[in-house]
Amino acid sequence: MRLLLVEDDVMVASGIKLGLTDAGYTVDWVGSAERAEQVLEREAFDAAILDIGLPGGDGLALTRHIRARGFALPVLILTARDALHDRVQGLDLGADDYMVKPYELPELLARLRALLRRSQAATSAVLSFGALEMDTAHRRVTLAGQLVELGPREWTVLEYMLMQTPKPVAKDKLLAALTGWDKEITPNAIEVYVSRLRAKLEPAGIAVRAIRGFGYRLECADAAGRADAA
Amino acid sequence: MPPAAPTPPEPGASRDMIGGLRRRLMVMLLATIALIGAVTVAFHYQAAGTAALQQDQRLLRLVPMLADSVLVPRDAPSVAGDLAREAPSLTLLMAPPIQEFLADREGHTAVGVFNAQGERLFGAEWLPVLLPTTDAPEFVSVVEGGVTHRVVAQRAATEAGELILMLADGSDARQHWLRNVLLRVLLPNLALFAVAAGVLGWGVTRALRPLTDLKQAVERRSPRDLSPIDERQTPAEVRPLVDALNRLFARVNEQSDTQRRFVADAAHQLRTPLAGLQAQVEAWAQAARSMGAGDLLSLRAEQVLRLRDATRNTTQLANQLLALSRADALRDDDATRETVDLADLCETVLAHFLDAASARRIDLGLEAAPARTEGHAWLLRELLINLVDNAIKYTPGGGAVTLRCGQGGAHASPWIEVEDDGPGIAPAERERVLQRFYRVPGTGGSGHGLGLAIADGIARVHRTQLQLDAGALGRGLRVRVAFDAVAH
Repeated sequence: MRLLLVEDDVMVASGIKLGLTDAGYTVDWVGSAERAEQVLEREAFDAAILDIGLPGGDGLALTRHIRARGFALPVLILTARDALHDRVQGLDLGADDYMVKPYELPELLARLRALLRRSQAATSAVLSFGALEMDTAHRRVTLAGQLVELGPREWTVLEYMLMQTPKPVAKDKLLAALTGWDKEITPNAIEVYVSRLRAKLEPAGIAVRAIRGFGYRLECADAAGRADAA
Repeated sequence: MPPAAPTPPEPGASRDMIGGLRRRLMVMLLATIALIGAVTVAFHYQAAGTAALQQDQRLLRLVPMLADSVLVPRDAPSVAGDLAREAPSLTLLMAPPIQEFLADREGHTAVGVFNAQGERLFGAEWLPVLLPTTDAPEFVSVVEGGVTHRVVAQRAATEAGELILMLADGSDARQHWLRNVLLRVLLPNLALFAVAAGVLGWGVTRALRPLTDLKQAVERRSPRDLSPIDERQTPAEVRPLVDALNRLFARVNEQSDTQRRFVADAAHQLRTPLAGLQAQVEAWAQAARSMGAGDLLSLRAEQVLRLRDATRNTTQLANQLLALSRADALRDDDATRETVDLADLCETVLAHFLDAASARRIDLGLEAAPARTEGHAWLLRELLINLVDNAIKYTPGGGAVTLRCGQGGAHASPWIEVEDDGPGIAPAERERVLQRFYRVPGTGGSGHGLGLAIADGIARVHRTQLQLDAGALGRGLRVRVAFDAVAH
């Protein structure tokens, strides 16, 4: 995975670059919006991480430029300015996510993974989480390469949770997603599907954690998943 | 009467305010007086018309007297026709009222006697020839020698037969009265007006002096001097203003005191984690100084982790301080409030803490019923984050933390609640834990004593406060925030 990092603060940039490289990404770092525009014209990236306060045009303008040029890569905005909080939160500029500086590396990695997963799902129809891969085009689920048989309702539940991870999924949302299958489905029925999924996924280190009073969340017990939870 | 006191030159912007007040008062008072004066003059002028009418009637009353005054000498033949022909043989013996009339206004009065053909038998040259055809009197005004004379002519039967008698009065009543009005009414009125303007100017300035003095007293103050203004030295009229000012001073005083204390505390608090960071980095820099540029410095893994913790700690403190200052800034701001879905808020915050909870093996749960309130969404989120963060931090592993929200009914008060089954807070400490930077003695962990203070600060922005109780079964801590019911 190749990432573009646009950040003018050397301390912050080298820190992020080190952390991302460690996590297995290839990182191209530029210090200004102008450089970023040039590089984006020549090279292809899987995602961009932009600082808001940049010399030669700020990150928001750069985001607008990226969207205006039609680049589809996901954009994660970094900001030290809390005042922009609400504006960025609207994400009406075409950014996909934002974080307020200073931030913790594990959270940055988790957000990046979620962004990449979503953009990947939009283009390749394959959702992945840890050892789990779900090919929505061929309706195939593999765990560490091993094919897993899923019933149609189990498939819906897993797909819904995969799309949302690392966020938890509310039980009533799952219920709504399943009403296409059954007219009268009870919350207890969902528990049945979830426990069946658990039995199939847990051997590969993927847990469906119940959240009291809310719903479920997909969690990963392996190294990559740990980072999510650190 | 003293002249109008000139306004002393006053520096400052409020000069306009007081000057404006003074000007308005003066304009209103003087306009009233001028109006009264004008009405008086108008009445007097009106009276002049009446006076002219009276003059005509007086002249008319004198006509019979004049008729009585015409005598024919005994020795002359007393035939009317003869009289006309032998004109000078007429004798006038003026009746006393006529004498009086002539003597009273010497030079301005005249009498004339004409025969029926209009020949002058007696009288001044300038008298016009009037031949009234009936017995009714005829009035004209004649200018003679720069004076307007009122002239009456009437046919009257006399001893010498029917003659035309004429009386002229040069003391024109209208002029006379106009002069009267000018002298006796207009001039005194103008003088009175001038005097009144002076007195009023002086009086208004005097009356406004308490305001001017107050303004100067406030102006002279240094920005740091917020001591109350002495109420006893201010007149009763300005006292409400002084009271309001004093209340404002007190509030500002209190606020700036709190601010000063807060900044001092915050700086002190920031020094603690910064000191740890600096100590670590200084030690490495010391080691690095004796090494070459390309040499590698080896660090123990736990050192790096400690460093990371100290950094996160500092960041959290900075974030908390920011949250506090923003809550303070919004204390009296109702304009930016919006409807906040508390159940949504609880779900967001729950998701935010799932990792932290599972890292500490804490069962984080939600019991959310639909509830809405009016408020600042991001502040309420901050409030809940601080409560849950606190609960997770101080609940031992294996414990449970529950977020709740609800509303008794459509018009009932909405509330949010965070309950844990940790060590709880002793009733005696519950008041104090809401103070900034206060930490319960013997508490471990990396807190700054700000979490509950922030939550309480935000609650107060929303006109409510934290209620601290023991959790279910008397264990742990339950923090509840009940909001005002939203009017729909």
